[in-house]
Amino acid sequence: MLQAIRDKAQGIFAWAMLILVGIPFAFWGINNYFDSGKEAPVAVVGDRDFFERDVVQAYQQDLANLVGLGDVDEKHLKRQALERLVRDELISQAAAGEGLAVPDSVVRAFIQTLPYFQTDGKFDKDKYNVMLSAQGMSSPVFVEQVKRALLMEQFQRGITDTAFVTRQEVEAFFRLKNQEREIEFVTVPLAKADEEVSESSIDEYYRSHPDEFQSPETVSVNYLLLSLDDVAKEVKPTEEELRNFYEEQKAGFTTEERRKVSHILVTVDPAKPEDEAAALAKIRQIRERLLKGEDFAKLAKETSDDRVSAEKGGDLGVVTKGGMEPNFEKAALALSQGEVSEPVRTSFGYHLIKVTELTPATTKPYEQVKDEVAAGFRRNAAENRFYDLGQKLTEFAFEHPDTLEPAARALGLKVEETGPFTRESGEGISADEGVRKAAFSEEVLGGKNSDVVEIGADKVVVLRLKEHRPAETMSLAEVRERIVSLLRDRATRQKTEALAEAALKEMGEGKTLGDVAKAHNWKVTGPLTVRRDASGVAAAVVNAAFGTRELNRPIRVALENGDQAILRIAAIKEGEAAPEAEKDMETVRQSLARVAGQREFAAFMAEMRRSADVYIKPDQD
Amino acid sequence: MEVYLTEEERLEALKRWWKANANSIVWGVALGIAVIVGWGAWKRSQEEKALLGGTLYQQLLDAVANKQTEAAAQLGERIGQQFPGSAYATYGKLFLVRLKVEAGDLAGAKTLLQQLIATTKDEKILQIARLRLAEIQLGLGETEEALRLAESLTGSTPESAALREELKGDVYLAMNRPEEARAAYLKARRDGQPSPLLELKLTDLGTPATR
Repeated sequence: MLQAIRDKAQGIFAWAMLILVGIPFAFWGINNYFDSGKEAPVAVVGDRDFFERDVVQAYQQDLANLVGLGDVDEKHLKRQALERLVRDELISQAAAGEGLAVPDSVVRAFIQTLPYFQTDGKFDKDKYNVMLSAQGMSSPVFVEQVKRALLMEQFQRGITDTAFVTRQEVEAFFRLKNQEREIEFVTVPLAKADEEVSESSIDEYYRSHPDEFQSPETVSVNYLLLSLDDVAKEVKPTEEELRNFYEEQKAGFTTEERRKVSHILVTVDPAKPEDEAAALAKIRQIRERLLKGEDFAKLAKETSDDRVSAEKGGDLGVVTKGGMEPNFEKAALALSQGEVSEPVRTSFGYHLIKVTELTPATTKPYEQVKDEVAAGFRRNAAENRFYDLGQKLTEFAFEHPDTLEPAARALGLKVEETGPFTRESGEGISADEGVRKAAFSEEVLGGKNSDVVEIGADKVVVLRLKEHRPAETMSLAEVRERIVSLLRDRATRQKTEALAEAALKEMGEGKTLGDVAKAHNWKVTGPLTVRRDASGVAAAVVNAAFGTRELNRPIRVALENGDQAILRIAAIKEGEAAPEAEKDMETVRQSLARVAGQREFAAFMAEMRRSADVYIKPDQD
Repeated sequence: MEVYLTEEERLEALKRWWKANANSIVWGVALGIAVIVGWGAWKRSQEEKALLGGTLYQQLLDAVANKQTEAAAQLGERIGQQFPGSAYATYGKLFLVRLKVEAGDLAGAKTLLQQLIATTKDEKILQIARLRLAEIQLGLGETEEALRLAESLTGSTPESAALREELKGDVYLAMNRPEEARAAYLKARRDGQPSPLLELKLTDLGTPATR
């Protein structure tokens, strides 16, 4: 069969067959053959699928904008990101469905106005390419994204930018905002309550408010503490151990030899070996002169071919190991101070070397550094021992989970104890958060030894519960003072309130605010005119002044400091925009129109979302 | 099925078949090509139209943003004439309404919106247009009509309900029916996002500012 097809593939049948085979590709697209076993989408909007990775990507963009805003609720944000994806997709599908289109020229013009792609206010093609590739994006993809955004904007602005507010609405706004109210009020100062707080009321309050008198949960523990310092104190080295340690660590107590040298060089050109003899003769000559007593530095300046050092009298500085050619170094190290060497041959030529300064190596004798040695020895030994003991502590505490005694005996430690401390704070070892955490752990509260807890690098502890006091209601004796002051405060407020109420009643019977104020010697404020944003008058008074449109009915207002006020609204004057303030009106008009546009578009979108073909995978929320 | 053994026989059969069917095949192919070409041309013309509409609309958006009222009005008119029935025509009209309101011509705005409502088929646009018409009627003092229109709005989402109820509240207030206004404002407060202006309206009716 296959062979037959191949034979005929030259003729007209081949074409027919090719067309037949091609049809399914043309109609269903190649991708249908490859997408079996694909992951399930988390949302479907019309014919567009969204996958987890799309949500994650959108979420990460949001997250980048939220940096520094503290903890964020990941689930909530992801949900928001998904909602945004769905919304945007709905908008762009609707825009495309309505036949909206963005011409390339508009896209281009828009991209060119973006400041990221500009140099000195002008579009910069290179910058554009660099910025895009930094984002891992190709130009066509970016252009497509911009196009989509502009398309969505066309759609959105069709609603948001066509919203308006009428002049009447703006005027209504000013009527409310600039409204003025003429008020008058008396202040009833906090009255002192006469009677003492009774025992029975204290008792009553204590019993009916148990929540207010809870002591925090506390724990106290027994513990074993192993510290590096203590272990170090235990180390008692013998004289011999110390001397051995000194020998081992001798390098640390030794200052190395210091040898400063100068030289005079007569170079020999490697290309002209015939000069060798002449050079040697010359250097010998110089040496002769030195031996006769001429100054080395002066001669170096005069004759040395190493011009750099010659300027400094031939000085080469301190000899360091490996810093010179071996021949030179060997000769330099063999000299005593002030001695001049025989000519030394190196690759440069012939040198004369002189040691100008020599501090011999010194080692501090044991007796002089004995204390230092002992401290070092202890530290060294203790560290190992501290580690070993820590292991041992862990083992004993684990093997005998119901007592600290065996571990204490084995390590020679004393069982110590803390006072009570809470989850949040403590003293001594419980000042350490790790210790508190261990003390409140399930196993310790359950009566077992804790794991070994490290405090810093040089202390470890094992804890064991001594006493656990759950949060509980404090005794009446402990909280009595608090209740008394609370009740006293309440009584004075109530009394003040009662005084104000009585005055209110009198006013209901025909007395004026002034009469009442005079009778009690209360302070009258006003009449005065206030606005909503008045700051010279207590906020509670202003709120009450704008809380009703009823005139002349006295209103009682509790002030924050316990005082009471009795307030009367004498008149309401509707506000208006100042005639000269056309600009204000324009600003308000614009801002109200903007808000209206946003709300109308939100409603528009909500309706669209409701009727749209949107599927969201249920476990997304 | 016949089995052809030699090359000549096969060629012969093919020729016979071709003679019998040539006419219909040629016509079929020609028709197919004509359909494809025609479809392509129609699509292209639609796209071109959309692109031209898009260009004009973009100019309109820019003109409005830059407060070039005159130019914006001209563009709005032109889009309506050149692309009647398109989404751009609808938006253009909505912009014209806004411009008229801003110019203080509420009556003109009303006429335009009524035209739009009579012609548009998009239910969501219709809701927005009716809401705006009611606002304009309120501005014109036609409170009865405004109230009837506001009550006819059907949006069922909380966002739509909040808009509708606040508008109803405004109308009731204008009709000096404060109790009904308060009830409508309270419904708007329940359904909508927090709004300082709404709170102001409510406190002025003597309702505590807390939710």
